[in-house]
Amino acid sequence: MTSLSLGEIEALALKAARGAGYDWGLARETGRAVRWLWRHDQRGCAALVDWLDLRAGTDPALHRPAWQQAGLKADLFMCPVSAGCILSDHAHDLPDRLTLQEVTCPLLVLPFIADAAGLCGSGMIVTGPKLEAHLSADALNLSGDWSLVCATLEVSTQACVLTSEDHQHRANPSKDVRARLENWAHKTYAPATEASRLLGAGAGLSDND
Amino acid sequence: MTVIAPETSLHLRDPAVVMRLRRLGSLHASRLSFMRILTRRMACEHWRFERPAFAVNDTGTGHAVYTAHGPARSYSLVAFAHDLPDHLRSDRVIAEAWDATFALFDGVPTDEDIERLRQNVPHQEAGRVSERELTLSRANRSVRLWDHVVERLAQGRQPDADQLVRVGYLMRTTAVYGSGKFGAADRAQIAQRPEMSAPFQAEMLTVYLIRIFVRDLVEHHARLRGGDQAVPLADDLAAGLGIGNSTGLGMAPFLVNHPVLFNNWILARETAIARIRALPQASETEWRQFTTLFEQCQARLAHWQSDHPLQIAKLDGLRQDAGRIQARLTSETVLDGQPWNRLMIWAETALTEEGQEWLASLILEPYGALVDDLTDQMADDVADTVRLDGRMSVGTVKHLIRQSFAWALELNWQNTKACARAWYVSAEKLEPRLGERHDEPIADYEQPLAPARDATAAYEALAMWEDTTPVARFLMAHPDHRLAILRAQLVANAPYGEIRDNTIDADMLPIDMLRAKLSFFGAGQFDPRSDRWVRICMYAGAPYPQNLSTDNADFWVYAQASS
Repeated sequence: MTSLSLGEIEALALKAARGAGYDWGLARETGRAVRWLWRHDQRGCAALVDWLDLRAGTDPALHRPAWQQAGLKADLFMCPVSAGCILSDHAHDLPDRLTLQEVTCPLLVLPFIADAAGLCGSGMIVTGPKLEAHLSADALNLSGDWSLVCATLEVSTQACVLTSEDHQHRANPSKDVRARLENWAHKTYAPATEASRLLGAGAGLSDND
Repeated sequence: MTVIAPETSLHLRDPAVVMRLRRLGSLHASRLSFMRILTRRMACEHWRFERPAFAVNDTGTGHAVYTAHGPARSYSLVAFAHDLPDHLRSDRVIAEAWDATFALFDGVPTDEDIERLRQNVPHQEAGRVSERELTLSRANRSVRLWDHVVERLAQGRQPDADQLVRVGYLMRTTAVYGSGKFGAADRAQIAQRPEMSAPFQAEMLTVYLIRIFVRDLVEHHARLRGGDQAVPLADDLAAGLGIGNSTGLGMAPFLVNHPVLFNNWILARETAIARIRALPQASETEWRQFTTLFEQCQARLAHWQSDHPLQIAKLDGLRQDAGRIQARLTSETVLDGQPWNRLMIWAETALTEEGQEWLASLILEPYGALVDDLTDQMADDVADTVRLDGRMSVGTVKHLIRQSFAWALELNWQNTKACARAWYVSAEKLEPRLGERHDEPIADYEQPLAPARDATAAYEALAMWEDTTPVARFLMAHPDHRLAILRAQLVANAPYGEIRDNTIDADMLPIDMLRAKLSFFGAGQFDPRSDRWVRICMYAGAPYPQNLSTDNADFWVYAQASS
């Protein structure tokens, strides 16, 4: 029984992102994005843990994108979650075509583009090197190898909206990926101490009454 | 004919009054409670119950299956009985063994399902369940009462009624996990089913079935001890027993993490109260029904015990309130001129908060036809899909923050007392804890459970920007305020979504949050054991399946405790 519920996978992704240093709001967005990917039969956990491992020890400000000409660019390889949030937040102001320069683990940005599609009531096409994705709020059609580490993407609006397809409702990350995410998540837990055990939860330790 | 006022003209109580922790910590169950939603449905739809298996052996270990058949679907409690040494018995999340463990199976389990569950359910958090399971739970005995009941029944005698009433339950659950935890089915899998659409119905059904199992189990133990001499528990004594629940901090974050859902619960209750208050008159029958239930409730107060000084004080206040209400009802002869409204207005100055909320729940009772429909609005399956609206202006976001948190903007959050606490999760079995920020090294691990503080910080940052700026631009520069802004947008149409008190204050009582949630479950007999741990009883007085009917599916909560 190795499958996880979508609630579990979302919670794990959220905690892993937080453990890796994201603010709670972005951690929450990460959880939602990974859940969306699994719903659409994509291995969101592998993409996330690869990204968290890559960015470890670097200054987050370097991955944060800024608007530049016809798209978004970061000083160093672009954070897919930050980029995604910007796209979704600006859904109504996006140019018909825009470029995401060197976005890391680009699979992770797709749920946000889907959100933007939903907010505008349109579809979106995302293309990259031997990559293509057609998205609407709740539908995804991918071709190419989206497990690559970094790609420059073109995002454009299209009028036609994909119809919603059957969704997955469980997640099956590999043991290794899950363990790596749990490692990141573990950084959100306070080390247990005898004092905190006695005080923190209030109850005594034995209940025979 | 009773005319209901249109909703727009109803006067709902101010969230600034209702959403204070002291009042939330004084809430009482009502006819909108999740337990009663379930019992009403099961009676109305003539649910059928059976016990396909009872395989508990001579050492008191083994399993049992209890199946509830609704009109469209069946649900089965798979129960495991264990032989738990006393020194291992603990209500804490960090426990690793229990007297009994359970899963609610979505359907009727096969032998393979039961075997799979046997490998996992007794381990609880250390095991896994599948999407065929809806809940995972465990329970421990009330040791003294259990031993007393087994001993008496084994001797062919009934247990002492006073002892039963004093404790109220033979077993108490220490967690009931649902909604995708530990591998169980996500709520989305069941939310469209009519019988599961109201909140926590799977959990309520789980506890209802556990109660049946516990009765069977105690009788089994009595037979093991007494052989042919043993007798079953008398029906009236069994009816008075509920299933206890021991709730700690794990439940408190829920209200903060689900503001729209919490709003929907409170809004349903406040709307119900407002509908009744708007009634121009009460009939003799309705008034008599109310006064009868009041008297039964007042009598039941005598059995509500607690050792905790806070609760003792509240109970004293409530008993005095009951006396005041009784005097008022005796002198009240006028049943028009909005009698319920006049009663509630009187209560605002004459009664404690406990008394006011107790009365607020009671006035709903004669009017199921007018308010029970509100239970359809208590779920929330939408908030999680809401996206942040980047077009909203900085000025509007500030306005939204002021709506819930104007009081918080005035606080000095640097003050030691104001930020004394921090909620965190311990590496020890992931137990949620509440610590003292200034005394323990926990600040780095703080969970986002202080929305008032975070909203204030966001507000101060927003104040540096032009009001007309789209918040999307603000967020590019300040991603750290994303959660607070999302939350402000989320509760824009949820006036009762935010607790209007500081959840990290030095004097904050977590039991106020626990009680608020438990009151919506339908719990009674709140018995705090500390400021962050409370025991309650569920289904005490409820009919067992063989007696469940539309006549008793609602008012069993007022059944006289045996004495």
